[in-house]
Amino acid sequence: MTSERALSSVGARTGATSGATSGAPLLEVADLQCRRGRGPDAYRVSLPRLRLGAGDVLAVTGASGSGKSTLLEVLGLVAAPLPGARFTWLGAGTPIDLSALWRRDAERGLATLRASGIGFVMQTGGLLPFLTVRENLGINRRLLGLPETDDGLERLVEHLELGPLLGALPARLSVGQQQRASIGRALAHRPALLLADEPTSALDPRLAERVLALLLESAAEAGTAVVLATHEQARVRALGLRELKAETVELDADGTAGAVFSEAAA
Amino acid sequence: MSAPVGHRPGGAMRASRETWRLAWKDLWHDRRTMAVFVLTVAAIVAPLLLLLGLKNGAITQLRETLVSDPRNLEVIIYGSARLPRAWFAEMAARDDVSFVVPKTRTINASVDVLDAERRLLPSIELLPTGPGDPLLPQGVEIPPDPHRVLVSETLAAQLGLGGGGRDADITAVIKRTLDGERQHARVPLTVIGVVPERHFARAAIFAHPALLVAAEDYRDGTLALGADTPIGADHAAAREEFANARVYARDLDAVAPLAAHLRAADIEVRTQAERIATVQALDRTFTFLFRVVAAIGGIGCALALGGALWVNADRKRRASAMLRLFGFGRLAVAALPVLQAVIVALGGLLLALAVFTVGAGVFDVVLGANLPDGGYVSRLGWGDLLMATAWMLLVAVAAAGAAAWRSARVTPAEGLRDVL
Repeated sequence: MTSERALSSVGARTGATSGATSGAPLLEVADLQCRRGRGPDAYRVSLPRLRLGAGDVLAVTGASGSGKSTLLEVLGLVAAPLPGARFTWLGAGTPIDLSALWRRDAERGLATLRASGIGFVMQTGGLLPFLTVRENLGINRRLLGLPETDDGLERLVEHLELGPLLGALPARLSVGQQQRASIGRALAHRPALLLADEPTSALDPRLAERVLALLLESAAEAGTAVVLATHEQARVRALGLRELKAETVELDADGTAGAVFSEAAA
Repeated sequence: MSAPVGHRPGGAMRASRETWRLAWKDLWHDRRTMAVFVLTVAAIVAPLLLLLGLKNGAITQLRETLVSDPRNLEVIIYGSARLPRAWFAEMAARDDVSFVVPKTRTINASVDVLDAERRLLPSIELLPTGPGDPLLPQGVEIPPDPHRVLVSETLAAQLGLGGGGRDADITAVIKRTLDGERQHARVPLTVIGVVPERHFARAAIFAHPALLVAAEDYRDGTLALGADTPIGADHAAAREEFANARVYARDLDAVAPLAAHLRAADIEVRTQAERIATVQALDRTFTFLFRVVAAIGGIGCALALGGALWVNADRKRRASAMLRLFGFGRLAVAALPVLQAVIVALGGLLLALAVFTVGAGVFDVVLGANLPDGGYVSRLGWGDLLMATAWMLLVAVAAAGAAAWRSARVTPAEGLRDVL
């Protein structure tokens, strides 16, 4: 599949679902806030409202330093939201009150939910250097007690063209290959949510387009929702993705600078 | 929420198996660094094992020498005493005495010896013997009369006796000065056996007590001796008192009480008690020294390994953060350097044991030649190995403490950021 075709197919899919949740509800957020730093350096990231359904694709856009990564950290259950948020995970049958988990400092509960429910794609690599591509792909599956491989994983490997690379260590891969393997690793255990933080920023534009297409296709194939942090607003718009845009707030009521993320009109 | 999502039975087991696997994979990926760690540990542990082996070998050897050497059972009577016949009967009846035989004054307990070629060997020690003499090997023929003797292997060699020395004829020459005139008597002796060197090292004749009594009587001028006047086996029977005795205790524990009993009877005695005490003191001293050296080595090992693991944990905090992000617990990530330290420590210990085996072999070959048969220079028992393994693991866990703390402080959020 050429990258143009890949992108147009993704565009068609996401375009058809933009603006509304498509599948069963996965994540529900209201009045979510997170503070970074202290005193005059404090920075507050706010997400007044978000509903994410199974298989949804959401782009988080904003300038560098606007708090996209912080928002991803909160959604990825590694940064604590401020009290008062409604933050519910709906992807596990019974709703899970994530705010309550944070209040109880339930590190283990958050970790298990991360392990089973969320995949992560980092800006660069994110592969463990001492494991082969195959072992990197299998790390979450092993932790969850899933079989080493299954049809879904085989299709994913084929789609990401990772077959010939399975026995290699990450250091022997090109940056593009590493990102493909990283996408494979994030999706190998079929999480309900994939969080990708600027996954293509380290790649040249042509390669970036191809890797992004592969990411979105693979996630669609796995039925995984995607939250994608990127500074490339133009590409997001060209793909017709749902967009959560940062608006910088110089000083809020408490005198804290920050950003408010709200969904742009479709 | 009742149970965390994704938490299934066996999860902890899976996570710990996966942690072992990751610890090993990481070490193997960095195997040059691991080799340096293992060599560092082995370089510290191997000399300690050799030292412990040498200490054990030396002390065991000394102990076994003490136990196996009957001279350590002897209660030596100092100078000249007046020991009546009844005293010998009483001693022979005691439970804690294994052997007692009358002896003459020390000055009379030696003779000159002429070999078959009439060469003279001056002042050869003359020891009275009898059945049950602990200095003699089992099954050796005891001299039945004063003219038949056993000689030590050393004397046999000096006399040039070949073929085991049996039935060789030698002559004892006993000198005296009587009324200002120097005289000597020649007593023909037949060698009926040789006492091996490991039983008695000096040049000596083991003889029937009557030969010693006759020699003493001759020197005292109360007996005429000639080649044609044989000494009777009952020559000593007329003696009511003896100046000395050879007395042996039943075992090492009986030596001190027996000596005390004799001292109480105003007989001045000497034992090898101080030799026994010396070995015990040496053991204590060596053990103390070994512990000091081992403690210094152990602390050095812990610091070297600990420092290396800390640097390693710091270098790999991105990987630790990623593992936390993927859902590994704080404990699992902290366990990584500990497990790696355990692997390195056991690897180092194995290498050190290999070095020890070679080193101990070399010691045994080079230094073992100085030891009596069956001796060894260096030795480690299973208990020592167990102890070494336990200490090694303890040092490894202690060394990994700082690295574990460093790893445990890594947050999963760090895995998501690329700033690391």
